Amino acid sequence: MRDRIFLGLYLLWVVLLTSIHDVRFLGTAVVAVLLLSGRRAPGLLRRALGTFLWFNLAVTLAYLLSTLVRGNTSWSFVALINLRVAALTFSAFWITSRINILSALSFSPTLVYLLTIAYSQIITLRRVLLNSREALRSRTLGPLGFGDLYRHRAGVGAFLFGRGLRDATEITQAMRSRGFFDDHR
Amino acid sequence: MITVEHVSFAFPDGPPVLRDVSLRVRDHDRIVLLGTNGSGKSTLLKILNGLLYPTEGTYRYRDQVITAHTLRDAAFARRFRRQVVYLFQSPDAMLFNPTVGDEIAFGVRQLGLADIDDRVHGWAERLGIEHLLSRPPFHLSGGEKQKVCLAALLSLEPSVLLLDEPTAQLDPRSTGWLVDFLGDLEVTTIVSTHNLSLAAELGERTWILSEDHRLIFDGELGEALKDRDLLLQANLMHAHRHRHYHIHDWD
Repeated sequence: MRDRIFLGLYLLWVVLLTSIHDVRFLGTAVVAVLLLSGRRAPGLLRRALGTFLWFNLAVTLAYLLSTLVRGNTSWSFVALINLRVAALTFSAFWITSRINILSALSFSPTLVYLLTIAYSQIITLRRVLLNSREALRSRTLGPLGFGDLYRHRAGVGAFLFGRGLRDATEITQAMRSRGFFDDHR
Repeated sequence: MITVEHVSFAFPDGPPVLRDVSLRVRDHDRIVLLGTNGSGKSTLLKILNGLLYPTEGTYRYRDQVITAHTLRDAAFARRFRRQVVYLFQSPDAMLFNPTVGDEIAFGVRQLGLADIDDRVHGWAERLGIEHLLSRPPFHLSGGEKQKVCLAALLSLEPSVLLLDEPTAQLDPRSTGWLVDFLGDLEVTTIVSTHNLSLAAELGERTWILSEDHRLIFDGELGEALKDRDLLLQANLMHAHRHRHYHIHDWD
């Protein structure tokens, strides 16, 4: 029950973060989540930054490039989108470290099935990703050029996408074969 | 050539994957690494390839201790990566170039050699994949991908070839071809498998890892294959209630 209550509060929190357009509120939210994390805060910060830093940088730079030319840059908007993404990401990492999501979703067997399948896929694809990184390290004799790195990442991305699609098809077939869709119409 | 002394390995916050393993490899040894799934075969091969580092103990390649620090020396890393190559269990992990030709040339190009085309065509011909050189590697069969990866590794003319379950995705004909091909190579090979029926074809010497991640045998393969208790202990053979013994052969 505790996990379910936490999940409900988290969903409410997400609604607040996405509907209140106030930089001070979002800034306070980021600080509050970090304070709540206690000793886990540095690890949380590192993981969250690793997740959104490059994406946010790309979006921010693209926005600045397009608006600086026209002279209508809104710095408060830049702060708003960056703080909102930071607050959402920190909150997501915080909640997943505090609750057992399977137990929180136990009221719906269908959601539990979906979460379990998604989790198993994450584990499988993460293993593939780690293997491909190790394979590149193993085959690298010296510094690689941008072209090689680009080809590797593009190749791995395409492979993971294809593998994800193939696995999804197979999992769906296996679920159908075991009568899942007959019981969960 | 290779010395492993009291090596243990565990991932951070994880259980042990290898416990107190000590080994020696001489030039041109042909070693079969046996053990069930999860016994630590892949981890041991990755340590020998300098992808993972022992949490305890020492790994030496030609008297040089292999650590993250020593592999930061660019000249040494280049020499080591050229001499010790690793065929991953899933060839898909290794393929990322737009064509088979580029895939084979990837390592050779990094060496800056003048005869890149000759090497690529030479190894492609030797492996029977010359007709695939301009094709993307992603759409090939499992056996063809395996050959592309082997050509890419062998074009560097390595001293040590590490192979992780190389027959796991091959049909019987391709398996037969691979056994013959490896038998003709003049390099040190360390091949992991849990297929006992194939082991005798892949080498003369064997290392056996137990399910609790210890090295429980290092010696002649023929001797190990005759030791029923040893094979039962390593879970490479099982007994039925009616007291027959079977060799596992999952491939």
